[in-house]
Amino acid sequence: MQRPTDPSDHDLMSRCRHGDAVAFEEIVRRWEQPLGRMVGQLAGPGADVDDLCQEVFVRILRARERYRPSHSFSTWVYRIALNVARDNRRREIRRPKQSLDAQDQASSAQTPTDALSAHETAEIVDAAVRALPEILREPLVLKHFGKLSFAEVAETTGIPLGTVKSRVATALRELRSELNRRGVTGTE
Amino acid sequence: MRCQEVLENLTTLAYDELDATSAAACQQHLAQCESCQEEWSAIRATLGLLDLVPRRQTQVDLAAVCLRISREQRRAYSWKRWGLGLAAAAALLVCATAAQLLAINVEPGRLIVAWNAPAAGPAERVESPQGDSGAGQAAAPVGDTLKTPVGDAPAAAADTAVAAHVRSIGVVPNALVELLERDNLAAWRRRHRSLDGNGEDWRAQSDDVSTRPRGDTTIRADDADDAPPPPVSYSELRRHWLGGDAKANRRTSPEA
Repeated sequence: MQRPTDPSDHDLMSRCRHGDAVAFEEIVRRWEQPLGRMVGQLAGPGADVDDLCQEVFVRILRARERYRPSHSFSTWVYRIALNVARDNRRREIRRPKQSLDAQDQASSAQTPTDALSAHETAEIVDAAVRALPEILREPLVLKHFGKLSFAEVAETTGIPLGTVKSRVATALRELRSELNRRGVTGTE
Repeated sequence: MRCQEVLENLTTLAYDELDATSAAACQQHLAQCESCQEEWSAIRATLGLLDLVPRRQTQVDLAAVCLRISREQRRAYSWKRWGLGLAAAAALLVCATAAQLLAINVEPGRLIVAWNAPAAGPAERVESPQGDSGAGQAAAPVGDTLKTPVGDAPAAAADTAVAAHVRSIGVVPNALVELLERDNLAAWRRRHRSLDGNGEDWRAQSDDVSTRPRGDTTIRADDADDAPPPPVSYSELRRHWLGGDAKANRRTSPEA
Protein backbone atom coordinates (compact mmCIF):
# COMPACT_ATOMS: atom_id res chain seq x y z
CA MET A 1 0.00 0.00 0.00
CA GLN A 2 1.30 3.40 -0.95
CA ARG A 3 1.75 5.82 1.92
CA PRO A 4 1.33 9.58 1.53
CA THR A 5 5.07 10.08 1.99
CA ASP A 6 5.95 7.54 -0.69
CA PRO A 7 7.09 8.89 -4.02
CA SER A 8 4.46 8.91 -6.73
CA ASP A 9 4.57 6.58 -9.71
CA HIS A 10 5.58 9.54 -11.86
CA ASP A 11 8.57 10.27 -9.62
CA LEU A 12 9.61 6.63 -9.63
CA MET A 13 9.32 6.42 -13.38
CA SER A 14 11.30 9.62 -13.78
CA ARG A 15 14.07 8.19 -11.59
CA CYS A 16 13.85 4.91 -13.46
CA ARG A 17 14.43 6.75 -16.74
CA HIS A 18 17.68 8.04 -15.30
CA GLY A 19 18.81 4.52 -14.50
CA ASP A 20 17.68 4.26 -10.87
CA ALA A 21 17.26 0.52 -10.27
CA VAL A 22 15.76 1.05 -6.81
CA ALA A 23 12.94 3.09 -8.33
CA PHE A 24 12.21 0.29 -10.77
CA GLU A 25 12.15 -2.23 -7.93
CA GLU A 26 9.59 -0.06 -6.17
CA ILE A 27 7.44 0.10 -9.30
CA VAL A 28 7.57 -3.68 -9.57
CA ARG A 29 6.65 -4.07 -5.91
CA ARG A 30 3.67 -1.74 -6.28
CA TRP A 31 2.32 -3.02 -9.55
CA GLU A 32 3.10 -6.72 -9.78
CA GLN A 33 -0.11 -7.83 -8.02
CA PRO A 34 -2.62 -5.57 -9.83
CA LEU A 35 -0.98 -6.22 -13.17
CA GLY A 36 -0.68 -9.92 -12.49
CA ARG A 37 -4.37 -10.14 -11.68
CA MET A 38 -5.41 -8.24 -14.74
CA VAL A 39 -3.08 -10.09 -17.08
CA GLY A 40 -4.21 -13.39 -15.57
CA GLN A 41 -7.83 -12.57 -16.39
CA LEU A 42 -7.11 -11.30 -19.86
CA ALA A 43 -4.73 -14.04 -20.89
CA GLY A 44 -5.76 -17.53 -21.87
CA PRO A 45 -6.38 -20.22 -19.26
CA GLY A 46 -3.10 -22.00 -19.82
CA ALA A 47 -1.00 -18.86 -19.60
CA ASP A 48 1.85 -18.53 -17.19
CA VAL A 49 0.85 -15.34 -15.39
CA ASP A 50 4.27 -14.85 -13.80
CA ASP A 51 5.94 -15.00 -17.18
CA LEU A 52 3.43 -12.59 -18.70
CA CYS A 53 3.82 -10.20 -15.81
CA GLN A 54 7.55 -10.37 -16.24
CA GLU A 55 7.08 -9.54 -19.91
CA VAL A 56 4.99 -6.51 -18.89
CA PHE A 57 7.81 -5.17 -16.74
CA VAL A 58 10.38 -5.85 -19.45
CA ARG A 59 8.26 -3.77 -21.80
CA ILE A 60 7.85 -1.04 -19.21
CA LEU A 61 11.61 -0.86 -18.81
CA ARG A 62 12.11 -0.96 -22.56
CA ALA A 63 9.58 1.84 -23.12
CA ARG A 64 10.66 4.01 -20.19
CA GLU A 65 12.02 6.70 -22.51
CA ARG A 66 8.63 7.02 -24.18
CA TYR A 67 6.72 7.53 -20.94
CA ARG A 68 5.15 10.97 -20.67
CA PRO A 69 4.31 12.27 -17.18
CA SER A 70 1.38 14.18 -18.67
CA HIS A 71 -0.42 10.84 -19.03
CA SER A 72 -1.73 8.66 -16.25
CA PHE A 73 0.85 6.10 -15.18
CA SER A 74 -1.79 3.45 -14.47
CA THR A 75 -3.30 3.89 -17.92
CA TRP A 76 0.11 3.58 -19.53
CA VAL A 77 1.00 0.47 -17.54
CA TYR A 78 -2.36 -1.20 -18.17
CA ARG A 79 -2.09 -0.44 -21.84
CA ILE A 80 1.20 -2.32 -21.92
CA ALA A 81 -0.32 -5.19 -19.94
CA LEU A 82 -3.28 -5.28 -22.32
CA ASN A 83 -0.93 -5.60 -25.28
CA VAL A 84 0.97 -8.40 -23.57
CA ALA A 85 -2.28 -10.24 -22.90
CA ARG A 86 -3.46 -9.76 -26.47
CA ASP A 87 -0.15 -11.05 -27.83
CA ASN A 88 -0.45 -14.09 -25.60
CA ARG A 89 -3.99 -14.79 -26.78
CA ARG A 90 -2.87 -14.59 -30.38
CA ARG A 91 -0.18 -17.14 -29.64
CA GLU A 92 -2.67 -19.40 -27.89
CA ILE A 93 -5.03 -19.35 -30.83
CA ARG A 94 -2.35 -21.12 -32.86
CA ARG A 95 -1.94 -23.79 -30.18
CA PRO A 96 -4.27 -26.81 -29.81
CA LYS A 97 -7.35 -26.02 -27.73
CA GLN A 98 -7.25 -29.20 -25.67
CA SER A 99 -6.58 -27.60 -22.30
CA LEU A 100 -9.29 -24.95 -22.77
CA ASP A 101 -11.97 -27.53 -23.65
CA ALA A 102 -10.96 -29.74 -20.77
CA GLN A 103 -11.30 -26.87 -18.33
CA ASP A 104 -14.66 -25.90 -19.78
CA GLN A 105 -15.95 -29.45 -19.34
CA ALA A 106 -14.67 -29.59 -15.79
CA SER A 107 -16.39 -26.37 -14.81
CA SER A 108 -19.62 -27.33 -16.59
CA ALA A 109 -19.80 -30.56 -14.66
CA GLN A 110 -20.06 -28.73 -11.34
CA THR A 111 -23.67 -27.62 -11.66
CA PRO A 112 -25.37 -28.40 -8.33
CA THR A 113 -25.42 -25.12 -6.50
CA ASP A 114 -25.71 -26.44 -3.02
CA ALA A 115 -22.68 -28.66 -3.47
CA LEU A 116 -20.47 -25.79 -4.51
CA SER A 117 -17.91 -24.50 -2.11
CA ALA A 118 -16.72 -20.90 -2.22
CA HIS A 119 -13.58 -22.05 -3.95
CA GLU A 120 -15.51 -23.91 -6.62
CA THR A 121 -17.81 -20.93 -7.13
CA ALA A 122 -14.80 -18.70 -7.58
CA GLU A 123 -13.38 -21.13 -10.15
CA ILE A 124 -16.64 -21.10 -12.11
CA VAL A 125 -16.83 -17.30 -12.05
CA ASP A 126 -13.23 -17.15 -13.18
CA ALA A 127 -13.95 -19.51 -16.07
CA ALA A 128 -17.10 -17.55 -16.98
CA VAL A 129 -15.12 -14.31 -17.14
CA ARG A 130 -12.54 -15.96 -19.38
CA ALA A 131 -15.33 -17.28 -21.59
CA LEU A 132 -16.63 -13.77 -22.31
CA PRO A 133 -15.95 -12.35 -25.76
CA GLU A 134 -12.79 -10.31 -25.90
CA ILE A 135 -14.50 -7.00 -26.60
CA LEU A 136 -16.58 -7.42 -23.42
CA ARG A 137 -13.91 -9.02 -21.26
CA GLU A 138 -11.25 -6.35 -21.70
CA PRO A 139 -13.34 -3.40 -20.42
CA LEU A 140 -14.79 -5.49 -17.58
CA VAL A 141 -11.41 -6.77 -16.40
CA LEU A 142 -9.80 -3.34 -16.63
CA LYS A 143 -12.73 -1.80 -14.76
CA HIS A 144 -13.25 -4.43 -12.10
CA PHE A 145 -9.86 -6.06 -11.56
CA GLY A 146 -7.74 -3.14 -12.66
CA LYS A 147 -9.81 -0.73 -10.57
CA LEU A 148 -9.63 1.86 -13.35
CA SER A 149 -12.25 4.52 -13.83
CA PHE A 150 -14.46 4.32 -16.93
CA ALA A 151 -12.53 7.22 -18.44
CA GLU A 152 -9.22 5.44 -17.84
CA VAL A 153 -10.57 2.24 -19.38
CA ALA A 154 -11.61 4.25 -22.41
CA GLU A 155 -8.12 5.75 -22.65
CA THR A 156 -6.42 2.39 -22.18
CA THR A 157 -8.47 0.50 -24.71
CA GLY A 158 -8.88 3.41 -27.08
CA ILE A 159 -12.67 3.12 -27.28
CA PRO A 160 -15.21 5.87 -26.48
CA LEU A 161 -16.40 6.36 -22.91
CA GLY A 162 -20.05 5.62 -23.67
CA THR A 163 -19.04 2.41 -25.44
CA VAL A 164 -16.99 1.36 -22.44
CA LYS A 165 -19.95 1.84 -20.10
CA SER A 166 -22.33 -0.08 -22.31
CA ARG A 167 -19.80 -2.89 -22.84
CA VAL A 168 -19.23 -3.27 -19.10
CA ALA A 169 -23.00 -3.37 -18.55
CA THR A 170 -23.38 -5.97 -21.32
CA ALA A 171 -20.50 -8.00 -19.92
CA LEU A 172 -22.16 -8.09 -16.51
CA ARG A 173 -25.43 -9.23 -18.05
CA GLU A 174 -23.70 -11.97 -20.07
CA LEU A 175 -21.79 -13.08 -17.03
CA ARG A 176 -24.90 -13.27 -14.92
CA SER A 177 -26.67 -15.27 -17.58
CA GLU A 178 -23.75 -17.70 -17.85
CA LEU A 179 -23.46 -18.09 -14.09
CA ASN A 180 -27.19 -18.73 -13.80
CA ARG A 181 -26.84 -21.41 -16.46
CA ARG A 182 -24.13 -23.05 -14.37
CA GLY A 183 -26.20 -22.79 -11.25
CA VAL A 184 -24.28 -20.04 -9.56
CA THR A 185 -26.33 -17.29 -8.07
CA GLY A 186 -24.87 -14.59 -6.01
CA THR A 187 -26.24 -12.55 -3.16
CA GLU A 188 -25.61 -8.90 -2.51
CA MET B 1 -36.09 9.71 -14.12
CA ARG B 2 -37.47 7.00 -16.37
CA CYS B 3 -36.65 3.28 -16.15
CA GLN B 4 -34.56 3.26 -19.37
CA GLU B 5 -32.32 6.05 -18.10
CA VAL B 6 -31.95 4.36 -14.71
CA LEU B 7 -31.05 1.00 -16.28
CA GLU B 8 -28.40 2.70 -18.41
CA ASN B 9 -26.86 4.29 -15.34
CA LEU B 10 -26.99 1.31 -12.99
CA THR B 11 -23.50 -0.01 -13.82
CA THR B 12 -22.00 3.45 -13.36
CA LEU B 13 -23.90 3.78 -10.12
CA ALA B 14 -22.66 0.39 -8.94
CA TYR B 15 -19.08 1.51 -9.48
CA ASP B 16 -19.85 4.77 -7.70
CA GLU B 17 -18.93 6.93 -10.64
CA LEU B 18 -22.25 8.60 -11.22
CA ASP B 19 -22.46 12.28 -10.39
CA ALA B 20 -24.30 13.16 -7.18
CA THR B 21 -27.45 14.55 -8.82
CA SER B 22 -27.94 11.58 -11.14
CA ALA B 23 -27.13 9.15 -8.35
CA ALA B 24 -29.77 10.70 -6.09
CA ALA B 25 -32.33 10.59 -8.88
CA CYS B 26 -31.51 6.93 -9.55
CA GLN B 27 -31.79 5.99 -5.90
CA GLN B 28 -35.14 7.75 -5.72
CA HIS B 29 -36.38 5.83 -8.76
CA LEU B 30 -35.08 2.48 -7.44
CA ALA B 31 -37.00 2.99 -4.21
CA GLN B 32 -40.23 3.19 -6.22
CA CYS B 33 -39.64 0.80 -9.16
CA GLU B 34 -39.61 -2.93 -8.39
CA SER B 35 -38.25 -4.11 -11.78
CA CYS B 36 -35.38 -1.64 -11.67
CA GLN B 37 -34.68 -2.64 -8.08
CA GLU B 38 -34.48 -6.26 -9.24
CA GLU B 39 -31.94 -5.38 -11.94
CA TRP B 40 -29.96 -3.34 -9.43
CA SER B 41 -29.79 -6.30 -7.06
CA ALA B 42 -28.69 -8.62 -9.87
CA ILE B 43 -25.88 -6.29 -10.88
CA ARG B 44 -24.63 -6.01 -7.33
CA ALA B 45 -24.79 -9.78 -6.92
CA THR B 46 -22.73 -10.31 -10.08
CA LEU B 47 -20.16 -7.82 -8.87
CA GLY B 48 -20.06 -9.69 -5.57
CA LEU B 49 -19.37 -12.93 -7.43
CA LEU B 50 -16.60 -11.26 -9.38
CA ASP B 51 -14.97 -10.33 -6.11
CA LEU B 52 -14.76 -14.04 -5.30
CA VAL B 53 -12.31 -14.63 -8.11
CA PRO B 54 -9.10 -15.60 -6.33
CA ARG B 55 -6.18 -13.26 -6.40
CA ARG B 56 -3.17 -15.11 -7.62
CA GLN B 57 0.07 -14.05 -6.06
CA THR B 58 2.31 -12.91 -8.83
CA GLN B 59 6.02 -13.18 -8.38
CA VAL B 60 8.08 -11.17 -10.82
CA ASP B 61 11.67 -12.23 -11.13
CA LEU B 62 13.33 -8.84 -11.09
CA ALA B 63 16.76 -10.25 -11.87
CA ALA B 64 15.39 -11.96 -14.97
CA VAL B 65 13.80 -8.70 -16.12
CA CYS B 66 17.03 -6.76 -15.70
CA LEU B 67 19.03 -9.54 -17.34
CA ARG B 68 16.78 -9.49 -20.39
CA ILE B 69 17.05 -5.73 -20.72
CA SER B 70 20.79 -5.87 -20.25
CA ARG B 71 21.13 -8.51 -22.97
CA GLU B 72 18.96 -6.51 -25.33
CA GLN B 73 21.03 -3.40 -24.74
CA ARG B 74 24.26 -5.32 -25.25
CA ARG B 75 22.92 -6.81 -28.46
CA ALA B 76 21.82 -3.37 -29.67
CA TYR B 77 25.25 -1.94 -28.80
CA SER B 78 26.93 -4.81 -30.59
CA TRP B 79 24.87 -4.16 -33.71
CA LYS B 80 25.67 -0.47 -33.50
CA ARG B 81 29.38 -1.23 -33.20
CA TRP B 82 29.24 -3.61 -36.16
CA GLY B 83 27.38 -0.99 -38.14
CA LEU B 84 30.00 1.64 -37.37
CA GLY B 85 32.77 -0.78 -38.25
CA LEU B 86 31.16 -1.62 -41.57
CA ALA B 87 30.58 2.06 -42.30
CA ALA B 88 34.23 2.81 -41.54
CA ALA B 89 35.36 -0.07 -43.74
CA ALA B 90 33.11 1.15 -46.55
CA ALA B 91 34.49 4.68 -46.17
CA LEU B 92 38.03 3.35 -46.30
CA LEU B 93 37.22 1.35 -49.39
CA VAL B 94 35.77 4.41 -51.09
CA CYS B 95 38.82 6.50 -50.11
CA ALA B 96 41.19 3.80 -51.32
CA THR B 97 39.34 3.52 -54.62
CA ALA B 98 39.33 7.28 -55.02
CA ALA B 99 43.05 7.44 -54.22
CA GLN B 100 43.68 4.78 -56.81
CA LEU B 101 41.77 6.69 -59.45
CA LEU B 102 42.93 10.16 -58.52
CA ALA B 103 46.47 11.21 -59.37
CA ILE B 104 47.85 14.57 -58.35
CA ASN B 105 51.17 15.75 -59.63
CA VAL B 106 52.92 18.99 -58.78
CA GLU B 107 55.31 20.29 -61.37
CA PRO B 108 57.07 23.63 -61.43
CA GLY B 109 54.42 26.13 -62.36
CA ARG B 110 51.49 23.73 -62.66
CA LEU B 111 49.39 21.27 -60.76
CA ILE B 112 48.11 18.26 -62.62
CA VAL B 113 45.09 16.45 -61.28
CA ALA B 114 44.08 13.40 -63.24
CA TRP B 115 41.06 11.17 -62.65
CA ASN B 116 40.91 7.56 -63.66
CA ALA B 117 44.59 7.59 -64.67
CA PRO B 118 46.06 4.15 -65.28
CA ALA B 119 48.94 3.21 -63.04
CA ALA B 120 52.09 4.23 -64.88
CA GLY B 121 55.32 3.03 -63.39
CA PRO B 122 58.68 4.01 -64.82
CA ALA B 123 59.12 0.58 -66.38
CA GLU B 124 55.92 1.03 -68.35
CA ARG B 125 56.94 4.39 -69.65
CA VAL B 126 60.21 3.27 -71.18
CA GLU B 127 60.67 0.18 -73.20
CA SER B 128 64.44 0.10 -73.10
CA PRO B 129 66.21 1.35 -70.02
CA GLN B 130 69.60 1.70 -71.78
CA GLY B 131 68.88 4.91 -73.60
CA ASP B 132 68.02 3.28 -76.91
CA SER B 133 66.94 5.99 -79.33
CA GLY B 134 64.02 3.87 -80.47
CA ALA B 135 62.79 3.66 -76.92
CA GLY B 136 62.94 7.39 -76.67
CA GLN B 137 60.34 7.72 -79.41
CA ALA B 138 57.80 5.73 -77.48
CA ALA B 139 54.85 7.91 -76.65
CA ALA B 140 53.96 8.43 -73.05
CA PRO B 141 50.89 6.44 -72.00
CA VAL B 142 47.56 8.22 -71.89
CA GLY B 143 46.80 9.56 -68.46
CA ASP B 144 50.42 9.49 -67.35
CA THR B 145 50.38 12.22 -64.79
CA LEU B 146 54.17 12.45 -64.66
CA LYS B 147 54.13 13.63 -68.27
CA THR B 148 57.43 11.95 -69.08
CA PRO B 149 58.98 13.94 -71.88
CA VAL B 150 59.96 11.99 -74.94
CA GLY B 151 63.65 11.44 -74.87
CA ASP B 152 63.99 10.99 -71.14
CA ALA B 153 64.92 7.38 -71.45
CA PRO B 154 68.01 7.59 -69.26
CA ALA B 155 66.03 9.35 -66.60
CA ALA B 156 63.35 6.71 -66.83
CA ALA B 157 65.99 4.05 -66.63
CA ALA B 158 67.29 5.65 -63.48
CA ASP B 159 63.75 5.75 -62.14
CA THR B 160 63.37 2.10 -62.85
CA ALA B 161 66.61 1.24 -61.16
CA VAL B 162 65.84 3.30 -58.08
CA ALA B 163 62.29 2.05 -57.85
CA ALA B 164 63.38 -1.55 -58.29
CA HIS B 165 66.03 -1.12 -55.67
CA VAL B 166 63.71 0.54 -53.20
CA ARG B 167 60.97 -1.99 -53.79
CA SER B 168 63.43 -4.83 -53.30
CA ILE B 169 64.08 -3.59 -49.78
CA GLY B 170 60.41 -4.08 -49.02
CA VAL B 171 58.17 -2.37 -46.43
CA VAL B 172 58.51 0.94 -48.23
CA PRO B 173 55.51 3.17 -48.33
CA ASN B 174 54.26 3.61 -51.87
CA ALA B 175 54.10 7.35 -51.39
CA LEU B 176 57.81 7.46 -50.61
CA VAL B 177 58.63 5.37 -53.67
CA GLU B 178 56.65 7.81 -55.77
CA LEU B 179 58.54 10.74 -54.33
CA LEU B 180 61.87 9.08 -54.95
CA GLU B 181 60.94 8.37 -58.53
CA ARG B 182 59.82 11.91 -59.14
CA ASP B 183 62.95 13.36 -57.62
CA ASN B 184 65.14 11.34 -59.94
CA LEU B 185 62.99 12.29 -62.89
CA ALA B 186 63.19 15.97 -62.08
CA ALA B 187 66.95 15.72 -61.73
CA TRP B 188 67.25 14.12 -65.13
CA ARG B 189 65.04 16.74 -66.66
CA ARG B 190 67.28 19.47 -65.33
CA ARG B 191 70.29 17.69 -66.72
CA HIS B 192 68.83 17.32 -70.18
CA ARG B 193 67.99 20.99 -70.32
CA SER B 194 71.60 21.94 -69.71
CA LEU B 195 72.91 19.47 -72.30
CA ASP B 196 70.77 20.61 -75.16
CA GLY B 197 72.50 21.89 -78.35
CA ASN B 198 75.60 23.94 -77.58
CA GLY B 199 75.44 23.20 -73.98
CA GLU B 200 72.64 25.72 -73.48
CA ASP B 201 69.15 24.94 -72.49
CA TRP B 202 66.90 26.10 -75.35
CA ARG B 203 63.94 25.81 -73.06
CA ALA B 204 65.55 28.30 -70.75
CA GLN B 205 66.01 30.82 -73.58
CA SER B 206 62.39 30.95 -74.51
CA ASP B 207 59.19 29.51 -73.19
CA ASP B 208 57.73 29.57 -76.66
CA VAL B 209 57.26 26.04 -77.81
CA SER B 210 57.59 27.08 -81.45
CA THR B 211 61.27 27.89 -80.96
CA ARG B 212 62.04 24.34 -80.10
CA PRO B 213 63.56 22.45 -83.06
CA ARG B 214 60.99 20.29 -84.79
CA GLY B 215 61.35 16.60 -84.35
CA ASP B 216 63.63 17.07 -81.39
CA THR B 217 62.29 14.05 -79.67
CA THR B 218 65.30 11.80 -79.89
CA ILE B 219 68.05 11.52 -77.44
CA ARG B 220 71.33 12.93 -78.56
CA ALA B 221 74.45 10.84 -78.69
CA ASP B 222 76.03 12.49 -75.71
CA ASP B 223 72.85 12.01 -73.77
CA ALA B 224 72.57 8.40 -74.77
CA ASP B 225 76.11 7.74 -73.74
CA ASP B 226 75.52 9.29 -70.43
CA ALA B 227 74.83 6.36 -68.17
CA PRO B 228 72.37 6.81 -65.33
CA PRO B 229 73.86 7.17 -61.89
CA PRO B 230 74.28 4.01 -59.89
CA PRO B 231 71.31 3.17 -57.63
CA VAL B 232 71.58 4.49 -54.15
CA SER B 233 70.65 2.59 -51.07
CA TYR B 234 67.26 2.99 -49.58
CA SER B 235 68.67 4.27 -46.32
CA GLU B 236 70.54 6.99 -48.15
CA LEU B 237 67.50 8.02 -50.13
CA ARG B 238 65.41 8.01 -47.04
CA ARG B 239 67.92 10.19 -45.21
CA HIS B 240 67.99 12.46 -48.20
CA TRP B 241 64.24 12.82 -48.18
CA LEU B 242 63.58 12.89 -44.53
CA GLY B 243 66.76 14.41 -43.19
CA GLY B 244 68.27 16.33 -46.11
CA ASP B 245 71.42 14.25 -46.20
CA ALA B 246 74.04 16.01 -48.31
CA LYS B 247 75.84 12.86 -49.39
CA ALA B 248 72.73 11.23 -50.78
CA ASN B 249 71.80 14.47 -52.41
CA ARG B 250 75.15 14.57 -54.17
CA ARG B 251 74.88 11.01 -55.35
CA THR B 252 71.44 11.43 -56.82
CA SER B 253 72.13 14.80 -58.37
CA PRO B 254 73.25 14.95 -62.04
CA GLU B 255 76.13 17.25 -61.16
CA ALA B 256 77.73 14.58 -59.00
